[in-house]
Amino acid sequence: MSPYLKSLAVLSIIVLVLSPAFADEPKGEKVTQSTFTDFDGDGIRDDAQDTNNDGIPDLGEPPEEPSKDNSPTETGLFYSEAAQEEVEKSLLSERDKFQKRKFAVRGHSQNRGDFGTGGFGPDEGMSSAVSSACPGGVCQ
Amino acid sequence: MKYLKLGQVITVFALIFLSPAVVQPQNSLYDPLHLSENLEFELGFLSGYTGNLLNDSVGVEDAQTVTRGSIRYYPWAPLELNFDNEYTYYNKTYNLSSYHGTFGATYIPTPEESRFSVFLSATFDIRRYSETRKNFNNDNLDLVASAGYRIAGPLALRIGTAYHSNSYINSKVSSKKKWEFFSGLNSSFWGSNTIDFEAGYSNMDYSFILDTVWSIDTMFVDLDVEDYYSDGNLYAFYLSPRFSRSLGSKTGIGIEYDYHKFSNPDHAVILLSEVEFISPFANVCEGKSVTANIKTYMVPGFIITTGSGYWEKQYLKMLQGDINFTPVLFARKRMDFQSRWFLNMERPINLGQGAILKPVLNLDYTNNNSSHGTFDYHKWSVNAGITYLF
Repeated sequence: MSPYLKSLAVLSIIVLVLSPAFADEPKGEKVTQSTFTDFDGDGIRDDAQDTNNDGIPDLGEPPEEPSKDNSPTETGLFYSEAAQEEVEKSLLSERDKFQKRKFAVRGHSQNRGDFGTGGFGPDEGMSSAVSSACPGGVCQ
Repeated sequence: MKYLKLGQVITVFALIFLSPAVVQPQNSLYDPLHLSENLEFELGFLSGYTGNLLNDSVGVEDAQTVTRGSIRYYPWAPLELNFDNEYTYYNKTYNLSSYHGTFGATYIPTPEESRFSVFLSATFDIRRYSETRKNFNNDNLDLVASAGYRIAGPLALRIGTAYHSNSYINSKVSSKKKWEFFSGLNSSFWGSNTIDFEAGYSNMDYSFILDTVWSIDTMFVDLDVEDYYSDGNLYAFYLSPRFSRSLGSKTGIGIEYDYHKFSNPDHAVILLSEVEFISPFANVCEGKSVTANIKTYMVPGFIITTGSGYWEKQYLKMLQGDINFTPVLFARKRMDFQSRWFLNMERPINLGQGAILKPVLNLDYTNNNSSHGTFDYHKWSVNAGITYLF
């Protein structure tokens, strides 16, 4: 790589890091330094909510209005946040509980080592359709 | 092909006999194992075209079709069992078609709220080619154990080890066993800036020809090529810093640098045939790379990812030409300079009751310049696939 390209790359990174214009917060969601995490390296916060479970997080969308029923949780009668969390947890299936644990280990369940090139591009992107999109089964 | 048939039978059996549980009412008397909640099925289909299937200067064009069926079962919150079957068919180069079967278990004993987390997984997979390429048939075992600790807020540390065994069942000298150790940290700063640094060390045992062997003679001496091989270890380490951040609320960028270095490869020689397409050493190389990816949700309903990368790769010394008439002394390292670009578009559709349809379209361009003319090539690929998750 030429020195000019290297300089350009370094300059681009400095501009990216320091540019406040890009760092706007999603509407309706408060992002603090302590909550932002990105373990998969895509630049998008990992814990963004996906209320309709379609695989696309609700980034920049206002949070859904809570339903207005007259349950004790809404009226405040016998309501406790901890108890509510316990109830919600007990309703989860084993699959849902596993997915929550899997999310917690996402930072160390894979590594970037190996003796060759790591995962990049469509080999990873196509993995939702097939386990390995690399021709012949060997990625190069 | 018996593995393909076996895999197809098991997948069809499971889909037919277990899937009705998904649509039954969640009644514990009817469904004592809660199969309806704790089973997940995935069907995938992909079709594509590539302008250079074998990644070489010949440039064989071909079309491929991949079908996949997966079952995942969650008997207990910390445990996932998965069984995958995949068959890839090539239109012209049909003898490259293969079956890939995987059985795996993942165990995560730590609850999601815990600062300390542990991940354990074991996967066994087989790949079988047609009769004419049965020398490439291989069995693989992967074991991973890792732990992470969230120190405070955005700072997290990790450490882990992985074992990989790759056995070519019809070859004495192609199998490899590998241990990896890795450690890393991840931290966010100034809003959405994230740095991730990982370093690791690997040790692989493999078979090679020592460069002190003068020549290989299988014509006038009663020896096979395999008799000229020695066993040894290849050591490697890597450093991988990565920077990522958001660009607005729906877009993110990630930039990664990787540096891989062998510590003792100088006396090892392998044959050209071992670095060709799908061969055991096709992806064993040292070098450095820079990659950048942009992912965006800005187009409503779509996940769009695009990326570009540049690699400098150096392979082990290889012997080309007729092995009976080429002194091992003539073996040379292969050096490749590769650039790639890709675009991936995914459109997940929620069908309700946990069912999701994921169509995906992908474009990929690779340009490879090599010190060995055989590997000078460029190629375009286009693939379209769909996954049904239920």
